[in-house]
Amino acid sequence: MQLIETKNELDTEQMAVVKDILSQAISGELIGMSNFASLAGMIDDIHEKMEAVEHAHCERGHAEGFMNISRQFDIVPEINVEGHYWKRVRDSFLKYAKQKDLIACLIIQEVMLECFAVSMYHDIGHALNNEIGDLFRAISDEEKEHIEHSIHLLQSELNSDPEAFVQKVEIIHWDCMTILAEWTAGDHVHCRCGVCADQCVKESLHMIGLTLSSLRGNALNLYLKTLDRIGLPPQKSLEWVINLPA
Amino acid sequence: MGNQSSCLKFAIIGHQDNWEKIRQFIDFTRKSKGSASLELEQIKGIYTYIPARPVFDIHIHSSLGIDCHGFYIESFISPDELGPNHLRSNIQKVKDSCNLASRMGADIVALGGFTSIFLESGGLQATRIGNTCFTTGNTLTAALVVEGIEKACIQKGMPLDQTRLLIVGSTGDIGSACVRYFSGKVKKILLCARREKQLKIQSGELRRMGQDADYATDINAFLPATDLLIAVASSLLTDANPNLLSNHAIICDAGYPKNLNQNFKLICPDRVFEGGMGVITQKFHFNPVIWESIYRFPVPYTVHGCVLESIVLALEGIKQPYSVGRGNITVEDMREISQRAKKHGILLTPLFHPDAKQPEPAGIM
Repeated sequence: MQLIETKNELDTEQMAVVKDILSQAISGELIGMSNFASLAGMIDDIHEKMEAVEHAHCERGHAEGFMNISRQFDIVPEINVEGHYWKRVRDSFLKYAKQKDLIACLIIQEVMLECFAVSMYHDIGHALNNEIGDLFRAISDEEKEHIEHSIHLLQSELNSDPEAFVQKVEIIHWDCMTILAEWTAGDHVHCRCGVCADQCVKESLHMIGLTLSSLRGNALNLYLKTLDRIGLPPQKSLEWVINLPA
Repeated sequence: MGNQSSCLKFAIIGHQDNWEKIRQFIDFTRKSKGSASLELEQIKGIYTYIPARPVFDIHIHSSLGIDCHGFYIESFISPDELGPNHLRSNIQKVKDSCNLASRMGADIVALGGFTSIFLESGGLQATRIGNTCFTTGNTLTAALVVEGIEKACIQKGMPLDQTRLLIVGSTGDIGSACVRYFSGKVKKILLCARREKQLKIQSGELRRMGQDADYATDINAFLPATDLLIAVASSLLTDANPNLLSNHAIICDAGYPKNLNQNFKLICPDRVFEGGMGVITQKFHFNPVIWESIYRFPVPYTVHGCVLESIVLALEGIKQPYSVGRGNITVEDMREISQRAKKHGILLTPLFHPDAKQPEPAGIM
C-alpha cells in the first residue's frame, strides 16, 4: 500500500503515539454515536429525535473519518468501547438515559465530552502537520457546533430553576468529569485502559510535541468557559474543577 | 448602619505573585470537599488553565460611615509566566478579566500588579467598557510609596534633603511619579531603568529644573552611593548585589512581584519595607473568608495601593479612569487621591518588612 505523501514524516515511535491517539478518538466517537442513538430513543419530540439521529450520524462519520485516515497511514487502531474509561463514560450516560433525563444526557455528551473532544482534537491537529492533523482540526470545528447547540438549551433550563440546575450539573460533574479527569491525569498512567496498544500514551505525548498538562488544561479551560457561558456560578465551577483527580 | 447611596461598585483584577498563596487556596478548596492535597506540579497543571473569574467579594466600611461592596477577579496568570515570553497570552487573560468585570456590573476597576500593563501601554483602547471604567491604581500606590519613604526617613533620623535617592524603574508609571515628587526635595536622584535613551531624557529634565541627577541601566553602579532606594521595576532584579549597598540605606520594595532578591532582605532586615501599601482602619471582610488568610500582611487590614485606589474612587462616587497611560501621574493627583483616602480612614500602613510573619502594628522600622 502506498502511503500518502505527508508534509512532516513521522518516525516509528511517533506513529505508535498517533496510533494510540486515533484509537482513543475512534473509541470516543463511537461512544458519542451510541449516546446520541440512545438519546434518539428516549426523546418524545419528533424534531429533537431527528436531530439526535443526525448527531449520531455525525459522530459515526467522525469515527469513519478517523478509521479511513488510519488505513491510509497503515495504522491498525485498537477500537474498544468497553475500555476502562470509555465504558464508564457510557455507563454514566446510560444511567441518565434510563431515567429519560434529557438535560443530563446533553450535559454529558454535548458539554463534557464535546469540550474534551473539541479542545484535544484542536491541540492534536496543530501538533500533527499532516493529513491526520488536518482531519483532527476539521472534526474539532464540527464538534464545536454541538457545544453551541447545547448552550442555548441549557441556558433556558438554568433560567427556569437555577438552584435545581446547578445541583444537577454538580452531580453529573462528579459522575462524568471524574472519569475524564482520571483518563487525563498524570498519575493514572499505570492502569491499562484497554485502548492504548502498549504503554499508556500519556507518557509518550512529548514525542509529537504535546504535553499532557496542556492537553488536559486546555480541555478543562474550555469546559469552564462553556459552563460560564451557560451561566453557572463561576466560583462553583472553579471549586468543581479544582476538586477533580489530577 | 452605613449608606450606599453614593458608593459605586468596585472590582480588582489581579494575579498571585507566588505559588504558596495559590497552594493555600487550592488546598483549602480541595479539603472543603474532602479531596487530598495536590503536588505543586499538579497545581500548576490546573491553575494556569483556569479562565478569569471572580473568586471573592469584598465589603469595606469607610470612617465616614459608608459601606462599599466590590469583588476580586483572578486573572489566573501564572507566577512563572510573568516574563515577555508570555505577553500575548497574559494580555488575553487581562482582556478577558476586563470584559468579565464589565459584564458583572463593576463601575470602577483597578488593574493590579502585572495586569496594569494593559492600561499603561494603551492596550485597552478605551479606558471604559460599557459603563465600566478602568484605572491602574498607580496614583495612590505612588502616593503611599513616597509617604512611606518620608516616614522611614523621619524614623531613621535621616534628613530627606541630604539624601541620594535611587529609583529603580524610574521611567515606569510609579517610578516617574516618584521622580516628580522627590524632585527638589532630595540632594540627588539616581535614575535606573532598562532603556538608556529615556533615562537620559529624564535625567536632563531634572537637571534643567535644578535637581542634581544621574542615570545608569545597571543598579549596581549606584548602590554604594544610595541612601534611599525605591524599587518599582516590573520584574525581579536578579543582578542586583546587596553587598554593594551602603550600610545605612533604606529600601522600599514596591514592585509586584517583589523586585529585590532575598539577599537584600537578609542583609538589611531592619531597613527594608514593603512600599505602596495602605491600611483600611475601619476593616474589610472577604467572602469566602479564606481569602483573608491568603491575602494577608503582617499589619492587619493592609491592602495594596492600587486596590485602595478603586475603593477610594468608589467611595467618592468618582467614575472615571483615574490612572491611565504611563508617566501621567502628577504630584497634585497624588495629593488629591491621598487626601480622599484619608477622609475614609485609608492610611499609609505602618512600615513592615516584606517577609515579616507576625502582625506588628507599630511597624518594624
